[in-house]
Amino acid sequence: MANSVEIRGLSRAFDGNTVLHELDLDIREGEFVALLGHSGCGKSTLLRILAGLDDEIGGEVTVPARRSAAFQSPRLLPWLKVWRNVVLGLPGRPDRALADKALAEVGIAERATVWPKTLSGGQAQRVSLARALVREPELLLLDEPFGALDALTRGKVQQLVGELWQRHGCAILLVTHDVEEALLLADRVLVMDEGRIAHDLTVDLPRPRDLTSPEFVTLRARLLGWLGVTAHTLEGTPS
Amino acid sequence: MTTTKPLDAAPQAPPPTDTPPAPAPRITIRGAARTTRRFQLPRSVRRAAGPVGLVLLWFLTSATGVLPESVLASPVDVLKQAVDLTKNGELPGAIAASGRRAAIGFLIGATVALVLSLLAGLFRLGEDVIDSSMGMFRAIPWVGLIPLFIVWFGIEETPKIALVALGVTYPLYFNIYGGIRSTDAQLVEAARMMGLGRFGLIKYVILPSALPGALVGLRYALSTAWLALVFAEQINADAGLGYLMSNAQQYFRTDIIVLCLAVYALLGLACDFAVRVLSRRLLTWRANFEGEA
Repeated sequence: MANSVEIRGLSRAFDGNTVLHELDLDIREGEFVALLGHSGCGKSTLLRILAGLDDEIGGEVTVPARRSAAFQSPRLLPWLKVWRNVVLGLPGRPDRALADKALAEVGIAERATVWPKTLSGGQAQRVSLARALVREPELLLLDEPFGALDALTRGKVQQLVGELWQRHGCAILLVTHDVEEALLLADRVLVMDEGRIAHDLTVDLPRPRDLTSPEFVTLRARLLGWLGVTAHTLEGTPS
Repeated sequence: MTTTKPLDAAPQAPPPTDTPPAPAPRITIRGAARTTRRFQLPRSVRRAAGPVGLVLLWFLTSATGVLPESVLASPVDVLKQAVDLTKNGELPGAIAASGRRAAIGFLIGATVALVLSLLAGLFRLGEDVIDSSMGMFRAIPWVGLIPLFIVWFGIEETPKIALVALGVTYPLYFNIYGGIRSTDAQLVEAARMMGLGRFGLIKYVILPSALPGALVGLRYALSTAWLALVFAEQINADAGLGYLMSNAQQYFRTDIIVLCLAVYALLGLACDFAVRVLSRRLLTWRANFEGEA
């Protein structure tokens, strides 16, 4: 399958401090890629560059023209009703029917006409997903979209993202620091370190994935190892 | 787990002594919910109680002679003047003349403030050129410009309108500019990501987020407009509330002076009320602390 994203020799420095270092990466069409790494490893910078929000870069990046994003905070405009937020920026008059369809897809059609302030965190994040998907993107960028949600809501929204991805067939780049989340959702998990893709793991487990299956546990241990977190230290054994 | 727990190796806690430790202080939280609803005065009544009480005090001190008329006329006299001057058309005429000055001055000032704040808020070049100048001009007390305005514009309507316009410009400018600049960069980023162009960003993100500040500025601006008018109408006016007041001053008519002050106050209150209604309608999207009962 053709590549959706092609990155060649991408570098980015902030005030002489190199964050991305000659980075190469391909993402195939319709592929779900998770990007793991410690805080400050450059994963959010990479996502912002792919989003087109940062162009002070070296190297070359090819991305689909139709792409959208959802962020850690929902970033809804508080002065627009929920449905207007969903279709914000689309050409033509605001299309209520289109917004309703997108909201129904994320399961909150009934909240179309309220102000964003009345939404719960999970609901707002769903609206943010609807806003991203209504644009029918070929590439969807997700910057820790579950980070601020409580554990129960997070599970539901993760599942929703999985379903939406299968229905829309867009490529997804999910930035996260949750190893299990990455393994549950992604075809491929990348681990970033010092501005490069340090590890690239293909996850060929059948979906829906079982957190407790031995294969899953093995992959999890491997990823944690790459991240410098051994299963041992997690269990609190004194070193 | 097969590993040894580090806690097992830790030294034992000291054996309990004979005196039991003093219990940590505790507090009891009692329910504040009442089964029967306590009678409560409506909010509007409570709000009106203060001003009404003060007027009552004024009336009582005047009626008992504690407050002589040469100092302050009694509310009854003021009311009587209000009726008389309304009947002979002097008061409505004065209000119309003053209102016209305030309105024209406000419109000019608001337009200038809006244009300047948009230029300074939206463009870095505009900021560099305009904002520092506005900061400099603001340091000049605008009331102090009255002599200069008379030299420039004569003693007709122009200096009065100019003074109102000037007084209106500053609060509106600084509040709108501040509002534009406090726009959440994350929202701008998200909106750009959703495909909004420069124009759409201004319309859907930057201006709405400047709106709360602009409305605060509007409240200041309207009260400043009336204030500027009081100053402006003290000089060579031949109509308006200030003219009525300076005439009354020559004849020691405290009743007319108080009446004019009351009219200024009422006009100011009416403007403030209008802006509050406007704010409530325009800012329904805000999640704000509404105060405790």
